[in-house]
Amino acid sequence: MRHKALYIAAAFGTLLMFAHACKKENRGGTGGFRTDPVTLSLPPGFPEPVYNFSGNPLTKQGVALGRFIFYDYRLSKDSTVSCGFCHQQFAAFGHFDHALSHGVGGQQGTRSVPTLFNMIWQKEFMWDGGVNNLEIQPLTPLTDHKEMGVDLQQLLKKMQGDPKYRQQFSAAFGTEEVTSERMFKAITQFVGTMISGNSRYDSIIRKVPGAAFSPDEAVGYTLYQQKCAACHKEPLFTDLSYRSNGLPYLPALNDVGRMKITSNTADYLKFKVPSLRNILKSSPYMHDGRFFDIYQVFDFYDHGVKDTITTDALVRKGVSLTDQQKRQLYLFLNTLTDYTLINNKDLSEILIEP
Amino acid sequence: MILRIFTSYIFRCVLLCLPILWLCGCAKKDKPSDPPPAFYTRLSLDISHEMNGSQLIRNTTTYTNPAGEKFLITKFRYYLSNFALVDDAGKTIPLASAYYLIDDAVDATKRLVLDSVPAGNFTAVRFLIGVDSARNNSGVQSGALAPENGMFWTWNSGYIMAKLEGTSDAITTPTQGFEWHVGGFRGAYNALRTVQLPLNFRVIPFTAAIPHFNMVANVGKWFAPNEASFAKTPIIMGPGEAAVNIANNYQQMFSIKN
Repeated sequence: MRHKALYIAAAFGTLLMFAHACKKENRGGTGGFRTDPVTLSLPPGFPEPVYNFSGNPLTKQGVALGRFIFYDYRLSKDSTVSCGFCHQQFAAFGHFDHALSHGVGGQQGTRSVPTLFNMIWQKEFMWDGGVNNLEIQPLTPLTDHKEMGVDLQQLLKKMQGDPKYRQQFSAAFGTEEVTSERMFKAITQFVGTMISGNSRYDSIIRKVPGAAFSPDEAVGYTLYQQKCAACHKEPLFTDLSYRSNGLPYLPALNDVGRMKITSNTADYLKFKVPSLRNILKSSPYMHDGRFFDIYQVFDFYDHGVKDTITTDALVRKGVSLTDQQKRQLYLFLNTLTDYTLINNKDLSEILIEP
Repeated sequence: MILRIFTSYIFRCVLLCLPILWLCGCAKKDKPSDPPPAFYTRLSLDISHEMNGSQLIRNTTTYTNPAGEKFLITKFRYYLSNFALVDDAGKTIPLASAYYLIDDAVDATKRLVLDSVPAGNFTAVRFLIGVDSARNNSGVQSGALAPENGMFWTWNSGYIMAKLEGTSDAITTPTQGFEWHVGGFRGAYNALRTVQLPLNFRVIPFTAAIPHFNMVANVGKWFAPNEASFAKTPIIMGPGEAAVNIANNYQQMFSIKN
């Protein structure tokens, strides 16, 4: 019993040690902040994604916040349009039945709404490739006067004042602070999960038992490989290049395409090659949505291509298609519709109370 | 019986050893993370804005450019970054990575404190007017580089390196406004400009004084030697020749005044 004091001291020391160890554990995230990591399942055969999540770790909370922002119409200047207003899931996140994008105050833009899927494989964004990183892509529609028309500083203030946002920013990033960096990273997380690589075509390519092209679809696939695949390259069904397909220039819109970005006359009337995935769900077609029916597109390539200095050599003389071939191509394109994207409940619109 | 355990010899030993082990562990862990024995101080740089020798006054003072056009300035903002010092051996020593958005309307932005200045004899300071291409390419940024600062082009990704806005009688549009937004970081339209100014000072380790200098930015330099006319070019809003011309002019706008 003479060492009693020593034992008590030692016991106290042990207690301190455990307390210290516990404190250390928590230091990673302030006050027990914890997120649930999300791992993307990438379609087999796809290349390495361009967007790197290492600077923006994908979490359940981050994706949820991004989805909330994506569908929040209150973020626009007059609380009428959200991202999801133009990017509709059933249209592969394009705008069904709208040739040109439209936004606050009933204003209309000059280009059609691009579809949103497989964005993490793109190195540049917009029809003209003017935006160079997925994270800053939403800046354009948010601040464009003809789209959501907001002042970013005011928007951040508005979001900071909303308890729903404070709670969700806290869940995703550890504190209630609303910053543009966090906001854009959260949107990127949500949009990054929009992946399309599970159509009937994909099942057939992956030799899933029972999956096969019908005879007409098989001919359509061969026609696609002969006549379309040079630009609309598998597996993304775009080579992500900028080309002029010979679509006649419309003076009313005066859209010079990528030349606006590069100031290079060689880029006159060039636009990014769009993906053919989900193409039958994402009408209308072309950068200005001038064709509402895919058969109009076939007809255009067959006999409507205008040969200008920048028209791509591959289509300069047109892409001839007989009526039967058009039908077969249509049937093949139909196999590119990915219902696991269009019906994915994790991507669907959420109701946001005013 | 259970209580017996607490008085057992082994338990006593363990109890005594645990905290000692813990202390040893801590002591060991701390050693490799000790900073290398180097000395760093800071350098303070105060910036003032002038128009050819007199203090720049926005909104109320009418100025005349070499083309003879009268104008008022409403906004004057620019980025400085990539600060470095040149020592007496001619070696360039980069300072801590930092981006400063200087706004004539916000006095606090004109007082720069540069970090990680080592000991040595220095002969010059070097910096970039604008934001280096790496940060133009790497997604959303924060602080001075946050997009809500209004210095980022959304439609053609990239930072506005410097902007000058105002009005001029020479402009025929209803608002008579000019907006010169100078940017671009690629190829021939790269508007990034490096500035090197003579700056002789010595940093002796462990002395208290933080070196302090005054730097002047003369807006008058925006208009020469390349012609810069409001009537001809009221709006510059993208990378291109016009932006490069202005950048070549304003590269000369800084000087050290002590």
